[in-house]
Amino acid sequence: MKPGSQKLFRTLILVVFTGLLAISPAQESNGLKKVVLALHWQPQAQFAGYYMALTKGIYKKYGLDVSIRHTGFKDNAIDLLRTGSAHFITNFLSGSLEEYEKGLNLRLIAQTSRKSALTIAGLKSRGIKQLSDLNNKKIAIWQAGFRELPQAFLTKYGLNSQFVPVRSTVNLFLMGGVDAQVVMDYNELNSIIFSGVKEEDLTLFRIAEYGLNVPEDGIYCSASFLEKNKGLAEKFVKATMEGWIEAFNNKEETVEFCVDLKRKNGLQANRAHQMRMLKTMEAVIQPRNNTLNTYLDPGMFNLAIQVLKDAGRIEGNIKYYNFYVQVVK
Amino acid sequence: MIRRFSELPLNKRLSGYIMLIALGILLAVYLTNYFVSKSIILDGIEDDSRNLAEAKVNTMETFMTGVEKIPEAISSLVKNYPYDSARVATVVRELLRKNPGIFGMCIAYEPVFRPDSTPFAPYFYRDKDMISYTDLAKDEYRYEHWDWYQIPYTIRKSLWSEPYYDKGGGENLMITYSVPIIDSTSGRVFGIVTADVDLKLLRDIVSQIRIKENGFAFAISRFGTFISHRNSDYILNETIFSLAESKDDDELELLGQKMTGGESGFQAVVDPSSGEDHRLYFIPLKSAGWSVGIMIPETDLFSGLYFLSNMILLVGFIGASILAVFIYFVIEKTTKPVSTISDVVALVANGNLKAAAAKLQHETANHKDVDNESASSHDEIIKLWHYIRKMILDLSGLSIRIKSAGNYLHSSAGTLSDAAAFLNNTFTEQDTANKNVRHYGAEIDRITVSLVESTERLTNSVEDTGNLIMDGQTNIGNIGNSIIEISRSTGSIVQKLNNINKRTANISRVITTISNIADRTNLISLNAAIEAEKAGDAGAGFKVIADEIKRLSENTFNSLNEIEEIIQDVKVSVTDGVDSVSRYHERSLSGFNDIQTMINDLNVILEKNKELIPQFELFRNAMRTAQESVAAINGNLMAVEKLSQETKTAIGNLIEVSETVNDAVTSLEGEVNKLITD
Repeated sequence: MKPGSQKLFRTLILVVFTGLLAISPAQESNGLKKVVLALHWQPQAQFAGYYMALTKGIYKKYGLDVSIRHTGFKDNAIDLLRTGSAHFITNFLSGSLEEYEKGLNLRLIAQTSRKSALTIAGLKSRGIKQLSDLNNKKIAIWQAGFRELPQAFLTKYGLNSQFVPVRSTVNLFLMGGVDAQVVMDYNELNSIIFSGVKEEDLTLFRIAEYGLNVPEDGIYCSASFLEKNKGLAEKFVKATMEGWIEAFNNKEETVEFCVDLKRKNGLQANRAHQMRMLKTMEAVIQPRNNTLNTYLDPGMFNLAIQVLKDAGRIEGNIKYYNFYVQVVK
Repeated sequence: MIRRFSELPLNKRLSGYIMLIALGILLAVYLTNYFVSKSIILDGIEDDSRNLAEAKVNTMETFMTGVEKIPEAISSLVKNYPYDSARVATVVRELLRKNPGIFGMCIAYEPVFRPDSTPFAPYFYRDKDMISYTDLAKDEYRYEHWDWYQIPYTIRKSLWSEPYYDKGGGENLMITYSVPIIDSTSGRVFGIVTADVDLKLLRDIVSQIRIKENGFAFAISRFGTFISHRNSDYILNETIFSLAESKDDDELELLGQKMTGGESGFQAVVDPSSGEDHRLYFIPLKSAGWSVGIMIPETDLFSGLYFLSNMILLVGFIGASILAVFIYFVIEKTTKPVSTISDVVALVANGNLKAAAAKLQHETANHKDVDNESASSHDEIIKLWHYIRKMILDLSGLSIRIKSAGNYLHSSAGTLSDAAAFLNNTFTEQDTANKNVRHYGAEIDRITVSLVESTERLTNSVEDTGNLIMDGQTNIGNIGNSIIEISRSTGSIVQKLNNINKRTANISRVITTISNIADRTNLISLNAAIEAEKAGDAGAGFKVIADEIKRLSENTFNSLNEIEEIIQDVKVSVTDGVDSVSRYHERSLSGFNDIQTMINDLNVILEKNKELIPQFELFRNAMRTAQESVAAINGNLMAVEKLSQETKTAIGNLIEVSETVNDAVTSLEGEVNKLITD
């Protein structure tokens, strides 16, 4: 098939699939509502709350039959929401605001992350000791995206650094191909440490500490879906909150599950890494009294808008109440 | 009943000591054997494992160096024919076919160097027995972001990748050797040539390494990821550092630093999967940056050593036990007479000399050999026996002599006791006499003191009275002077009052003059009023003035009348005052004469009083002398008393000593009686 016709064929498939979902956004079977959740990265403890809600029957308890899809290299959660292949997705706040302004009519229904975990890590031995050392340097970043905040960080501090997209490893950084790497506190930072680099040998620029605390993970769905399924969305968020509490209260079991899940998906996994990730997620989600705060603070929202505007990534004509709908009080 | 070791009989103690020494020697032999053997075994195994590891690593290095040559050759080829991709692809395919050790090969071009700037990465790889082809430039692969492309491209060096699963490419676990094609003129990277090696092939080489019964080998990558290990869960999942964190094992982390740092070494280590102690030899595989380790369980290494050591312990212990029993019997036989001597000496120590002599007699009959020998014998025990017997006989004689001496002492003590009792009585009497004398002395003292006090009080009273009289005289003199002063003042007052009377008469005359003037003023005002009436309206103003003058003259009359009344009053008062003051002046003069008489009387009393004081002083001095004499007598009496008390204590001591001597002599008599044989 020629490239042109291949593309046409793909689009056709997408349209048909989207149409199917649009007819029946949430089918019913055995008295349970069938919903699809697309997570914005590969299986790992970053999503432990969703796994626990599923395996411990919490979704079922709320009348939901949830199937989870992971995305990452070849696809992304936003596209699955756009095409209607997923009813709920998780995504970063900054990326979602950009998509919203570009015309994707999505709604944030729960802001699960309370604190940004984005960090730029540099090796002291390679001369990265303070912010200005990053100027004119190469910084590795995910090829898959998530670069709005790091870009805003560079702009804010007038750093003329170059992003080098990498697939998923920290090897380019470890081999000295780049001077620093954008990492998630709960993921790539652990990979660096478990490659034999001591934490004290790293200089860590935690973006949240540089006036750019725009939290990441939240739950989204389309505006049209939410309009017809507000009760369903509420149940979904409540069940997910319970799932997270379950995960934090049973860390050993949760980590065991995550390691198994990763290995089943052909991914490398070990307990130490997943345990560190789960603990960092607890610090990011900040559960209190066995519940989660999923409210999008207007201050948080305004900061995100401001940061993205300053970085020239959005115009900023987004109304708080259009973007965020509080489904759980 | 448990007894302390030091309380055991000599034979048991001696054999115990010997047993202990034997065990100590046994332990020293055991430990020396254990550690020396262990060291020999470890040296041996270190050599063995090093040799084995080096041999295997060399094999791998040879293989990998062989693989490296091929992409390097292709890189040179591509540099010369950069755009004839079809021909280069044929060469690659052919090279792959002829090198069974290589899993796949690729030439990934940097898009900008392609004629149409499109990415292109022809890749040939083994798929069962076939060689398959794919272009890794496809959307779902995006070769430019994979480590095997990006790292050599960025750092511009050939290198082996970390192990990875080539999803969407060769669909296999592999490591890849990547060679950047660097343009010699521009210095830019055209692309990357790669050769993949199936990870299984290398893992098999590592896992086939066998040493001892349960020894095994493992390999980790340059960042510590397990590439090969007996525990398949570790492979590509764990790094040595993540495992160290899971197991909370700092030693393991340190080992990881050494291994990934390219060091080699031999050390003790705990296997994280089994928890058992192992010995590890590790050595770097330099080409790929790996580290290969050979693990030998200590149980394998030292099982022979443990058996040998246990045998030494067993045999040694049995030998020592036999030795101890033998020594026990030998010592018991040798030390029998010593135990008899010990019994006899115990009887002597308890004072039972009679029984001791009897037992010695009896035992000597049983030990003929002892009896026949003498002090000249060379056997120490026989010598001891001989001297003990002699000592008992000597002791008997000595005790008889002590008894007679005791009797003599006894009677002396009685005499001493009697003398002391007599002395004691004499002193008691003297003491009573002393007490009486002191009693009377105290009485005299008390009376004298009282008398002196009374005399002193009387003298003081007389002196006080004299002083009072003198004060009275002075005061009365002062009063007399005051009266004379008053008398003078009153005379002067009378004179001044008479002057006032004269002045008031003058004032009366002035008043009369003013009164005449006022009469004339009144007349003038009357005339003025008449004149004003005549003038009519023109005189109205003048009439007002005439009225005012009239009122003034009337007021003046009124005031003059009041002044005259006051002056009359003053005249009467002054005349009364002059009378009173004159009467007072006469009375004070007569009072002054009375006071003068009183002063003369008081002078007489004062003279009489002064004569009394020296008489009292004489009496008081006599009393003081009497008091001092009584005090001196009392002091002497106390000294006598103290001396007699000391003498009494000395007598008490003497009595006590004589009693003690008596008791001692009695006790000595008892002891001597016990000792004396019949």
